[in-house]
Amino acid sequence: MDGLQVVGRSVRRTDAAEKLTGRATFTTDIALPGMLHAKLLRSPHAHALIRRVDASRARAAPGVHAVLTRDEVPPGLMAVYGYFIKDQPIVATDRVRHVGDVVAAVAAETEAQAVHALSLIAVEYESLPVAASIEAALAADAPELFPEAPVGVVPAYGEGARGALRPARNVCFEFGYRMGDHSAFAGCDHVFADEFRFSRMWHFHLEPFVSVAHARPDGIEIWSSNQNPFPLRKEIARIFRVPENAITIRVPFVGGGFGSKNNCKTEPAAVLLSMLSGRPVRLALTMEEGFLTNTQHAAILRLRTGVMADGRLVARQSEVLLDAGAYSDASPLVAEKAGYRVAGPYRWQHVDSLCRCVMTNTAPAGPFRGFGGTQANWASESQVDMIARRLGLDPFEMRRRNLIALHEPFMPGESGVDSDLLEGLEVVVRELHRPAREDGRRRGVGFAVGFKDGGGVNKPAQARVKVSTSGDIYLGCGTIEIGQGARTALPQVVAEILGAPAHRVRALPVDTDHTPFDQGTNASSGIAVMGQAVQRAATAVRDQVLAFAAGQLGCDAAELRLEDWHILRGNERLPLAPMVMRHFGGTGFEFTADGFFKPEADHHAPLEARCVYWEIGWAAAQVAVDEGTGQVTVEQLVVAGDAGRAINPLLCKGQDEGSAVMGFGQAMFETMRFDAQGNLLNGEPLLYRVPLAEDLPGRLVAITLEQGHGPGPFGAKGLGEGAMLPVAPAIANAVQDATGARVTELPISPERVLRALDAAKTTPGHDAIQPERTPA
Amino acid sequence: MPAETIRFTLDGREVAVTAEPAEPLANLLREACGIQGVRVACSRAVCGACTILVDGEPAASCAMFAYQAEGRAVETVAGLSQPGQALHPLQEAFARHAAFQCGTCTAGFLMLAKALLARHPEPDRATIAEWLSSNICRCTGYGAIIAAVEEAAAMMRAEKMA
Amino acid sequence: MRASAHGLIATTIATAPRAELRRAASVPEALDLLALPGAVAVAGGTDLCAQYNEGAQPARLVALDAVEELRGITVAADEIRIGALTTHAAGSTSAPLRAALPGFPEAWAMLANPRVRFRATIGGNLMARRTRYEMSLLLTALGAELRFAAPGGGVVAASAHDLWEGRIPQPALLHHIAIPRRRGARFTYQRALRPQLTLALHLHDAGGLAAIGTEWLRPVALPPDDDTLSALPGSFADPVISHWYARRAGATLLRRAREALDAR
Ligand SMILES: Cc1cc2nc3c(=O)[nH]c(=O)nc-3n(C[C@H](O)[C@H](O)[C@H](O)COP(=O)(O)OP(=O)(O)OC[C@H]3O[C@@H](n4cnc5c(N)ncnc54)[C@H](O)[C@@H]3O)c2cc1C
Repeated sequence: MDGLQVVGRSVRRTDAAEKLTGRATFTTDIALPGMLHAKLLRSPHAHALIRRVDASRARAAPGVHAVLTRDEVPPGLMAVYGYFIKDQPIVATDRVRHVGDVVAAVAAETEAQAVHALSLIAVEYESLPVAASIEAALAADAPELFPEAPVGVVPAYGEGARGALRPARNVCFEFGYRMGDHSAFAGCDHVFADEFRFSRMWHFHLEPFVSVAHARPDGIEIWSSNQNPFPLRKEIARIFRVPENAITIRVPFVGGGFGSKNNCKTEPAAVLLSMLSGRPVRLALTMEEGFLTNTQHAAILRLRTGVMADGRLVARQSEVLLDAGAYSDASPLVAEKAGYRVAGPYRWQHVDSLCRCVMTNTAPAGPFRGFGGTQANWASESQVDMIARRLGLDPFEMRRRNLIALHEPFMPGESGVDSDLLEGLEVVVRELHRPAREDGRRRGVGFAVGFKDGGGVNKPAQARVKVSTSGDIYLGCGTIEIGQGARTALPQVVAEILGAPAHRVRALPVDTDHTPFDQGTNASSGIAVMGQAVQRAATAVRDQVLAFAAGQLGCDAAELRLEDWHILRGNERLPLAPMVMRHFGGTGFEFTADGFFKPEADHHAPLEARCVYWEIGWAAAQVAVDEGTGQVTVEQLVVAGDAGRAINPLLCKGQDEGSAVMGFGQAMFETMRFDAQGNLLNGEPLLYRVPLAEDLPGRLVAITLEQGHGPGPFGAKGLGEGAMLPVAPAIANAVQDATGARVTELPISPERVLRALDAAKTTPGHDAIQPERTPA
Repeated sequence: MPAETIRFTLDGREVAVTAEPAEPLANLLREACGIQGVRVACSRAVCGACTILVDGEPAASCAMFAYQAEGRAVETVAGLSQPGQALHPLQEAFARHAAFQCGTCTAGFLMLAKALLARHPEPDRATIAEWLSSNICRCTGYGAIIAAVEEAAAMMRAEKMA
Repeated sequence: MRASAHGLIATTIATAPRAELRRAASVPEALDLLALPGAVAVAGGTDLCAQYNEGAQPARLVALDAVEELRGITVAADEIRIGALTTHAAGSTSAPLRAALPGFPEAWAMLANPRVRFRATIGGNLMARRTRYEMSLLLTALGAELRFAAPGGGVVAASAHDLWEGRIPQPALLHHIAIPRRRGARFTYQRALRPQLTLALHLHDAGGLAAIGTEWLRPVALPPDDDTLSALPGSFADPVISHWYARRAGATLLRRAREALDAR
C-alpha cells in the first residue's frame, strides 16, 4: 500500500466515550458560581422606530441584577457588530428592523425572574412600512432600513472582481466579477435567460446559541458555542475597548452550527450584562429565538447564458439577489462567493456576475453550509440541464463538453481545479440502479455537479504540536469540534507524521489564550488549511526529535526514523524516553513546534488569493413523480465528494451523508415562511420541518472519492459542504427527466410540481421558457 | 409550591429527590441528579435530545414534570454503561459507525434505540426508520445511526444466545 | 414566544414560575380543580410544553393521571367510546377498536411518532386545538361526539366543529369521544401528502363523510362523492398551498381514498 499507518483508517472518534456516555461538556453545561441568567426582550414589529423604553420597573423586580437597554450602553462604546459592515446593535437604539430584533436584556438569578422582569419593560414603537422580501425591499417606494450608512469596508479584490457598499437603496453590498468580453454573446447561437428562486433554510443546530461571560476589572472570560473564537475576540475587544489579551474565549464541544455560530451572537449582550452586574452571566437562546437570529440567504438568481448549437457554453451574465435580512452579518462574504461561483465549473469565454445583498425586515441571514454556493449551484446546474434539453442534447453530454478539466483554472489567475469533475459525475450516475417498480408514476434521473472554492479566502492557520518525555503528544489548534470530527482526523495527521498510534495524540481544548491563532472553523478548511499547519508543526517536531536523537547517537538525522517513540536506526530500535532524560534531566522535556499555513496573496487571483482547493460534490437522483398530486419521491440519491485523500474514511462518509440529507431537506420541503409583514410563520421545530429518518430517499449512497490531488496532508481536501450543493438541482433535473416539468423554485413542493406539470402540458417541448435569440 | 420528596428509580437505583412536583423533569435530572447527558434542545418535545425511558417507554423529559416520574423506573444515558466498564452494545455500535457527530442528539437516540430493541429485538429497516423518526439529528443524515442500531440489535441477540 | 405590544419574550417550561400541582382523583374533583384560577389539565404533557414556549404560564397544573374514568376504550352496540386519556399508542393498537372500525386505528397509528405516541393522548390532541393536530380531522369524518364532563355529573356533547368554535363547557374536561357505529363502516386516511394536505374518508352502508385539512386550516367536512371538491370553501388556502392546489390534489386524494376502501 502507501505505507500509511494511521491516515486513511477509520479510527474511532476521540470524542466517542464522552459523547456516548453523556459526559461531554458543551457551553450549555457551563455553570459558574454566582452565575446569573439572562433573557432578551425582542421586537414584535418587523420595522419600527423606538419612541420610548422604560425599564424602571424591571430594575426593581426580584432577583434582577442588570437591565440592559439603549440607555445602559456605556457612552463611547461602538456597540454594533458585523463582519464587513458594523450595523447590528447589541440592543436596538432608535429602531428595530426585524421581528425578534433585540430591544432589551435582563440578567437575574433565575431565567424565570429574568422573564418576569422583561415583562415589566414598557416600549413604545412607531411602526414603519415593512419590506419583508427582496422584491419589497427593491421596490421604488420601499422603506429604507438604514437611512444612514453604517461603518463598513470593502475587502481588496484582484483581477476582474470588485465590491461596493450601498450601491442602491436597501442594498448593503454588491460583488461583481467580470472576465472576457461582452461581445462573446453576439457570437452565440442561442442565449437563454432563466430565473431561479432559492428558499431560506434555518440551520437547526440542536445546541442553542449560548454563552457564559464573566467580565472582571482585569479581563473578560467567555465560554461560547462559537465557530471562530479568534475573530470573535477581536470583535469583542473592539466593541468594549479592551485589549485582546484581556479577553479569553473558551470553546467546549459545539453542538452543531452549520455556519450559524460565527462571530457575535449571544456574546456581546452576555458580556455587557456581566459588566453591568459584576457577575458571570449565561445567555442561552431558545430554539424559537435561534430561528430569528441567523438564517440562510433566500435568493433570486437570473442567468443569461449564451451557447453554441453544439452545446458549447460561451458566456454567462448573472444577477444574484440575496435576502440578507435585517443586518449584514456575513452577507457581503456570501455575496462574494455566490457571485463568484455562479458561473459553475465550466469553460467560459465571458462571465459577468453581479451579486447584491438586499436588506429586508426579516431575520438576519449569514453563513450557512454551502455559503452562497448552494444558491449558485441551484441556478447554474438547473440551467445547464435546461439548456441541454432545449438543444436536444443529453445533459450528461452537455456537461462532458463543457466541464473544466483537472488542473485547468476556474478563472484566469485562479488555481487549477483539483478534482476530475467528469469522473465523479460518471461515478454517481453509474451507481444509480435502474428503477424497477411500475406503479403509474413517472420516473426519471437527474444529476448535477456541486462546485465551490474551499478553504476560505486567504485564510491563515497556526498549530502547535508538543511531545512529552514519554511520547505523549499534544495538538493545539483552533479548529473547533463541532461534530465534523476534527479532533479525530487532525490527530491522525500528527500521529502519522510522528509514527505514533492515533490514541497517543490528544487535541487540546480551545481557548484563545493558549491555542495558536486560527481564523475559524468554517469554509471546509479544517483539513485543507488547518491540516497543513498541523502537518508542518508535526513535521517540525519530528525533525527536532530526530535531530536531537542524531546528536545523542552521533549520527546523521537522515539515518533515523521515529516509530512509537522509539528511534529506528538500521535494525536498532532505541526507546526515546531514556535518551531524553539522559540529556534533559530526569524531569524530562517537551519537544514543541509551531506550524503555519496561509495561501499566498495574489493580485491576479480574483479574490486576492488563489483558492486553496476546490470543494466538489456530485449527485445523481432518481425520482418518481405522482402526477395526481405533484408529489416527488426521491427513490435513489447518490452523492459523492472528493476527499483528495480520506484521512478518516468513516468521518468523510458522515460528512457527505449529513450534507446530502441537508441538501435533500432544502430540495424537498425545508423553508422559512415569512409573511408580508415580516412575521415568521413557522419559527418552531414542529412547523419548520427537517428531514427525519423516514423521510430519507429509499436508497441513499454516499461515496467518498480519493482522487489524490488535494493540497492538504497526504493529498487531502476538505469535505462537509460539497455534497449539499448538487442535491437540489439533481432532483429538479430528475423531475424534468421524468415528466418534462421544470421547477425553478425551491423547495420542490408538490404544488410547484403540479403547476409545472400543467405548464409542460400546455407548452409541449421541454419546458415553458422560450429561448431568447440574440440578433447576430 | 412546597417541595416534596419524589421517589423513583433512576438508572436502577432508588432515589428520593426533594423537588417541586411541577418542576420540569429534565431540569431535575440535570441539576438535582447531575445527569448532564440529558440535553434539552428544542424544549417542546420535538427533537428528542432529552429522551429518557419511563417504565421502558421513551419520553421527552423536557415535556414532563417531576411528579410524572413518581414511582416509575427512569432510565437515562448515564445508566447505559458504568464508568470503567464495557460500553453498552448500542454505545459500542454508535462508536463503530460514527453514528453521532456534534453529540447533542446522541443520548436521546441511544435511549430511543434501547426502547426500540426491547420491543423489536430483530427490527426491520422500516421499523427502525419509524422509531428513529421520533428524534432529530441534524448532523449525520441518519444512515450511520440506522446502521448502528441494526448492528447493536445483532450484537444483543448474540449476547442473549451466549 | 410570549408576545405583547412591548415585545417578544422566549419562554419555556423552565422559565415559567413554578406552578402548583393538584392531583385529581375523580372527575368531579378534576372539574373543581380546573375551575380554580389559572388551572390547566395535564394529560401526557406533549403539547403543554409547547404552550409554555408560546408564553403560557399556568398557575396550577391539574394532573389527570389518576382519574381512571377517563381511560379505556369500550365498544357498545351503538357507539365506540374512547376515554380522553387514551394514548395514541394504546388507541392505535386496540384490537376491539380495529374490529369495530377497520381503518381507524391504522389511521391513528400514523399520527406523531413512536416516542410521542406513548405519552400523547387523544384528549390532549383535541383540546390543544391546533390545526396541525389531526385527530379532529379524523373525528370530523367519523361524525364523532366529544363528551365533556358536566358539573353535576354526566356529560355534555359537542362536535369537533364546536371545539374549533369554542362551543364547549367551561371548565372543560373532555371525558370521552363517542363514535357512532354504522353498518359496513370503513375508514381510510390519505396522509402521504402531509404536511400539505390530508384527507380522511369514512364510508358505511348509509353513506359517509370525507374530511380534508392542512397543518394550518381547520378540517372541512365534504360529501364523499364530491369529485371536484366543489364544496371546499374558497378560503381553504394556507401559507403552503393555494386553493387551486387543495382542490386539485384533494380530488386525487378523495379518489384514492375511495379506491382504497373499494379494494377492501
Ligand atoms: C414531536 C411531535 C409530533 C407530533 N406529531 C403529530 C402528528 O403527526 N399528528 C397529530 O395529530 N399530532 C401530533 N402531535 C401532537 C400530539 O398528538 C399532541 O401533543 C398530543 O396528542 C397531546 O396530548 P397530551 O396528552 O400530551 O396533551 P397535554 O399536553 O397534556 O395537553 C394538551 C392540552 O389539552 C388539555 N387537555 C388535555 N387533556 C384534557 C382533557 N381530558 N380535558 C380537557 N383538557 C385537556 C391540556 O390542558 C392542554 O391544554 C405531535 C406532537 C409532538 C410533540
